[in-house]
Amino acid sequence: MSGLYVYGIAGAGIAAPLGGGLAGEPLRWVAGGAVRAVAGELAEPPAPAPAALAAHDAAVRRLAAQVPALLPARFGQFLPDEHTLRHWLTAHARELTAALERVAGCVQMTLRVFAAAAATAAAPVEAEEIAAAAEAGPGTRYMERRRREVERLHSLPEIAALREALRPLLRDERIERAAGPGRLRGTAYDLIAGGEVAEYSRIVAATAPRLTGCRVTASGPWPPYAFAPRVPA
Amino acid sequence: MSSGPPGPSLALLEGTENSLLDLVDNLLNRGVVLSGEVIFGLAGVDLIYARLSLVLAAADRVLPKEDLE
Repeated sequence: MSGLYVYGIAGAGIAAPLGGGLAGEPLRWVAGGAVRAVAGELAEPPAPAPAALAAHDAAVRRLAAQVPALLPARFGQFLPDEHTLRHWLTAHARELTAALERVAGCVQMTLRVFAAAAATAAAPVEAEEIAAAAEAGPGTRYMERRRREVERLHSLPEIAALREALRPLLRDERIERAAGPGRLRGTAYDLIAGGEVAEYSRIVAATAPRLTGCRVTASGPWPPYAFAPRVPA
Repeated sequence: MSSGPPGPSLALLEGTENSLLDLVDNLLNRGVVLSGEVIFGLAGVDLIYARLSLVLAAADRVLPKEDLE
């Protein structure tokens, strides 16, 4: 069953040559409201093999270089026809426009934090947190425990010094702490201006080696995959 | 690029494994979702996923989910 395979969302603007998609298919704009999608006709959805992922990313990178802002589509977004795509774009144009404004001119850098070989403990709980919790009633203790859990899920205190050094460059950030006892402690997705990649790299290279108990890897620049809005499908 | 004991000069996109990890993470776990069902054709069998979730395999390969309750 053929359909439209979507690569990304951009704002309204001048037409730009789109080239081909991951299977060499010609790409075209599909407009809906104030936004438009880049899509190509495929006979069937592509399988998530490494080569296909790389080809999808290559197409997204090429498109991102041609427009002021692009929201990359997740791999595998395959819709039955143009009407369905137009309808979805129009229905979510407001959220998509706001997200496009946020990522305009920006790229994503990704930091992954690994515990050093001998250090596998989770993030420490501050002593004052324990003392404060002990003084509260059971309901408050439960709410506080949940609040701290949510905070920990989105924090990486192991690299606090690095986060502070990068702070002036960050337009936005997403932090996800890894679950489980493994060596991956968590991931930070950083949205920075495209012109700041060299400075970002310099700061990471200068600051990361001074961190103790953990190892940091960095990759990028990427199109802003982690800053795509969560809209209903 | 990695920190740790002083060693070779740092470089972005260090290592094939790290690159593939980031590629899989970005493309299968991030990005705009337009379709609630993502159908992959794989070896002639259509696999329908109501929700995609990715377990990041780093040095440990599989990270089990933590039960927070």
